[in-house]
Parts: sequence; C-alpha cells; structure tokens
Amino acid sequence: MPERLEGDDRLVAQAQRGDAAAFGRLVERHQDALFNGICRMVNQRQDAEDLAQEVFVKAFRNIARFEGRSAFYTWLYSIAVNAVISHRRKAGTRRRLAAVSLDAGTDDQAIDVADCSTLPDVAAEHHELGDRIEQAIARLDDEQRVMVVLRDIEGFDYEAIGTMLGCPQGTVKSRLHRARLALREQLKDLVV
Amino acid sequence: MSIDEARQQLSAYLDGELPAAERRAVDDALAASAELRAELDALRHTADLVHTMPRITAPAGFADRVAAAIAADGAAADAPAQAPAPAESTTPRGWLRTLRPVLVAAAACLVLGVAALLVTRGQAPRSAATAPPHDEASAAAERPETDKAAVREAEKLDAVGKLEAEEREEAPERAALKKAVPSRPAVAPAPARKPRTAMPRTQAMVRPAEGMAPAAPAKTKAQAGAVADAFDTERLTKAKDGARRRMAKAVGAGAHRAANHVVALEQSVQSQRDADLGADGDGLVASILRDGPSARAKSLAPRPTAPAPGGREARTQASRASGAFAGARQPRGRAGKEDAARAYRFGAAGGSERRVELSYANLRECLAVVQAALRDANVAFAIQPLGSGRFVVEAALPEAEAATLIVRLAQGAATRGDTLAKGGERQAPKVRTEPSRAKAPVRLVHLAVHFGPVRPASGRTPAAPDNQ
Repeated sequence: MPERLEGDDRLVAQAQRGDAAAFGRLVERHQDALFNGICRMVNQRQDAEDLAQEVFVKAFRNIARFEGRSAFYTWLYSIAVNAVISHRRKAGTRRRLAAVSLDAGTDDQAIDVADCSTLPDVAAEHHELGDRIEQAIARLDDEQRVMVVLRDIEGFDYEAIGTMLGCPQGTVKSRLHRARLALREQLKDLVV
Repeated sequence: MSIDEARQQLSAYLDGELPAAERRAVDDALAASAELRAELDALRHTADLVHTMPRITAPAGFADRVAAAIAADGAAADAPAQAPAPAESTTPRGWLRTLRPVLVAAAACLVLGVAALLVTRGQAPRSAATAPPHDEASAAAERPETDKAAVREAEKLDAVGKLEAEEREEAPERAALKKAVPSRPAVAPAPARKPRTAMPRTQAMVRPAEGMAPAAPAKTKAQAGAVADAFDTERLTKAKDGARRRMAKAVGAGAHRAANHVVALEQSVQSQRDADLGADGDGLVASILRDGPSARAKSLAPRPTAPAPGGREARTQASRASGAFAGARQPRGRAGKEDAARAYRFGAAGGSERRVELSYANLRECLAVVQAALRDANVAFAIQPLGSGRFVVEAALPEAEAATLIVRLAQGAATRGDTLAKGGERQAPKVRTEPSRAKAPVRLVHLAVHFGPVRPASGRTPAAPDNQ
C-alpha cells in the first residue's frame, strides 16, 4: 500500500475549508500515480486523462465528505476505480477494448512504455517486454485487470482494495489469485 | 491443509496477507510439494514482471487542466459549502476569495485591452492591408448570408471539434492581442474588500464574459486546455505565489474570453469602417442585434443540458454542482434573440433590468473611468461592441451597488465627455435611462450601460443623471 503521504491530512483539511490552492497541491502530489493506475486499467491515454480529470473534479466536489478513515490517496483511488468501472460499463460490448485498440495499432493512443529507458538496446528490450506485459494485462477481463493494477502496480493491501471495491477481503484474495493465474498463463513463456 | 487448499492461498501468502496460522500451514504444504513451490515461484515472477512496467506520468499541464475543469464545473461553489465549521474559508467565498485577485486582474486586462486596441485603431490610418485575416465581424457585415451559413455549419460540429477549429482561427488573433496589450503586469489586483453575502452575486463573479459559453463538464478538458494557452502564466507568476497561481489558471477561461471580446470589439470597429456604414454605425448595430451577440458568441453558446437523473433533489444538487453556470441556459419560446442572449449571460434567475446610456468625447478617458469603476465595483461584467465606437458594459449586481456603479460611470465618463464636447464648459452628463422591467422578485439588477461618442450635431442639452 502506498505510504500515507506526509502532509496529505493537512492539505485535505485546508481543502475542506475551501482552500483551492491546497487542493491544487493534492492534485500535484497524486496526479502521476493516479494517472498511471487509470492508464493501466483502461489502456487508453486519452481516456485515462479524461477519467483522471473527472476523478479530481469529483474529489474536489466531495472533499467535505472525506472523513479521513482511509488515506486520501485510497479515497481518491476509490473514486477512480468507480469511474473506470463506469467507463468500462459504458463501453458495453467493447469489453476488451484495450486489447483491440492495441491490436488495431492505435499507436498515438497506446501507452508508450519505452520512455523510461535510457540506452537504445535496453529501450528496445524494455519496449518489447513492456508491450508483452501490457498486452497481457489488457487481455484480462475488467475485474481481473483492476485487481492486478490495484495490487501489483499500485501496491494497495487487501483491506484497501476491499474498501474500494466494496467486497470482503476473502473475495479480494480469490479474485486476485485468479487474475494472477490468468496473467501467468498469458506470460508463461516469460515466467516458466 | 491440503496441497489444493494451499494452492488457493498462494497469492495471499506471497503478499503477506495470511494470518499466522494459515501461513504456517502453507509453509508446511510448500515444504512437502515441489510442484507447489514451482507455482509460487511462477506467481512471484509474474508479479515481478508487472512491477517492472514503467510508471506513466500525467501529461504536462494536467494539474492546470484539472484546475480549469474544477472552475468550469462550478464545483468550487458547491464543495466548500458542505465543509464543516471554521470561519473565513468555510463559505463558498473561500474559493472565490482565492481567485478574486485574478478575476479582477483579468477584468482589468480586458478594459486595458479594449483601451489599447480602440485607441490604436482610432489613431492609426485606415489601410486595407492592415485588416485582420479573420475579421469575422467584417465578414458578418459584408456577407451576412455567408457568415450565417458558416455559423450553421459550425453548429453541426461536435463541441470538441468546434473548439479546436476556433482555436486555430484565433491563434493569429491572440498573437496580435498579446502584442497590443503590453500593460498586463501593470494591473494590480484589487484591494481586499468586504465579504460578499449574496449567493447570486457569488455566482455572477465566476461567470465568464457575456456571450461566451461556460465549459460544460463533459467538454471541459478540451476547452480548459485551450484557454490555458491564452493565460499569461509568467505575468501571474510575478504577481501571485506558486500555489495560488496553480488554481488561478482556473480562470484562464475568463481571460481567454476577455481576449475574445477585445478582438471582437476591435473587429467591430474595423468592420464598421470597412463597410462604411456611416458615422453612427446603425447598420452594424442592426446586424449584430439581428444575428445575436456575435457569430463567435453564438458558436460558443452552450447547448441546453439534459436534466440530471434522480429526481428533483438530485437535479438541484446537479444544478448546484454546476455552480455558476447552472442558470446559464438558452431560453426558448417567445424570448427574442437579444433577450435570450441577456438571459443566457445573467442566468434565468430573474431580477430587474436597467439600461443606461452615456456619452463620451474622449474614448481613452472614458475607458479609464470604466476600468476604475468596474475594478472598484468588483463585479462580473461583459463588454459588447456595438460599432462606431459604441459599446455596452453589462453586469449583474445588487440594486444598491448598481446605483453606485451608474453614478461612478456617469460622473466620470459622461461628465468628462460632455465637458470636452462643449469646449471645456462643465455641464451635467447626458444620461438617459429606460424604466426597469421587473420580471421576478428582484435579486440582481441586470445593468446595461451603453457608451457612445458624443454627437456634436445633436445639440441636445445633456440631462441630469437619473439613477432610478
């Protein structure tokens, strides 16, 4: 689970009193992590940007209702997960939208995974490996993808995931296990 | 624990999420089964692979776009209202208080821009070569049918595409505007003022300039991104601290729309000259009134939004959430275009209307007075060019403050103008008012102050100001 960032509580309290600048600092603190997670869940950069923006707007609108029982980031991510689920629901039959979009070669919207590499050969290797993992995650069903993102990418513990998804920890445990098995199957040439 | 049972627990075991007793049971199963250990390794390796994926960072300017979206969404007016107790910033004014200096600065920039452009236009020799390449007002005057067709065509576009197209069109205009308005940093934020008390006033303060559509929540990303470009970050940096600047960009929309108004005003004046409509510009005024506030305003006007689902309370909440723009919808039915535009600009909240006409002889002095009066009044306002040096300043504000503002404008612009017109003999300003038309219980006065040059040939004795 991500560290409860130092100072979040103070900024949240200020934002709840109407301090827009404090909320702006919260946005700056969490925008990258939130954007990364949403990107991995929807696998469309443009959609992710829209959703992340929507999440922050909703968070600002409802900041007064945040009671501090969880970390602000967890609460923020709860909004994000709901937004993603709603977004995917609206996508309807495009259940495997991400995989389709990758196969269709929409490079302008697909996530560029090579931008963190520094050397050309390493970049190429990372790019290939990243593509494989990315596609494997994209081919998971929505429920499994969310589980993998929340746990293996964002590092939330089972309790926080259960809170976000509104399900008991036992359900989180079984869903995550199924998701990892599915992912392992897709990556078996890399894993075994 | 059997091997199969232990297999189901491997992920939780890997994550350290098993209670001690179950963990020990899995340990025992792992010690007894090589196959189970291989499965655990495979799961661990899978999780490690996912961990190796690079982090994706938010795009540049994302926080600014969020701020703009929040401002456009109107969430600012809603969220703090639900916050618990403490003093100053628990009211909706907390957010607005943060943005007020920027709002005032944007308003002052608009007036300065108008002054700079009008004065420049007024003094520069007429030259066809200097006509702007995208003179929409001129096109409206010369080719109204073509323009109307273009507007109709533009209305068929989806909102994002329309905004993108307009952004491309406006690029040279914005560049010209930046050159023409060099004095932005000289505009100091207004001094702190007494807290406002009326909610309608609060909403009016964050409403954008007239005729320009507020960003609908679903479209805010493109719109906010577009307006962010027009907002002068560097100048704000000098005036504000970093944190405030972040959220201050939320009102970039206002600045951008103010810039549009300056361009529109300039175009109107140029159009009037090019079309040679005569000294009074009646033809241009008629064309503007006939076609609505302006082609640009029309193309940017919001479409009526669907009622929020979930019953009356939910709709009320949604309306509050959309904040300043909740009442800013296009009215239908019998309302004429001018009334519709006014209703759009000031919302459907009702209230009285007041129209005042002032004359000026020196545009520069007049605009200086307008600038000072509006800055002191600290209200949301809009300026609409009417051609031939005429323009109207519109604002929504409480009754008492409206009277004060009228007096300020009348004692300043009109008096000076008439004094100069009469060769230095100081006379009372020429002010003509029309009776107010009360439509609903008065909450705000919709004030429209029309300015126009003094006509030496009129020969009428200016009347005393009538502030109703």
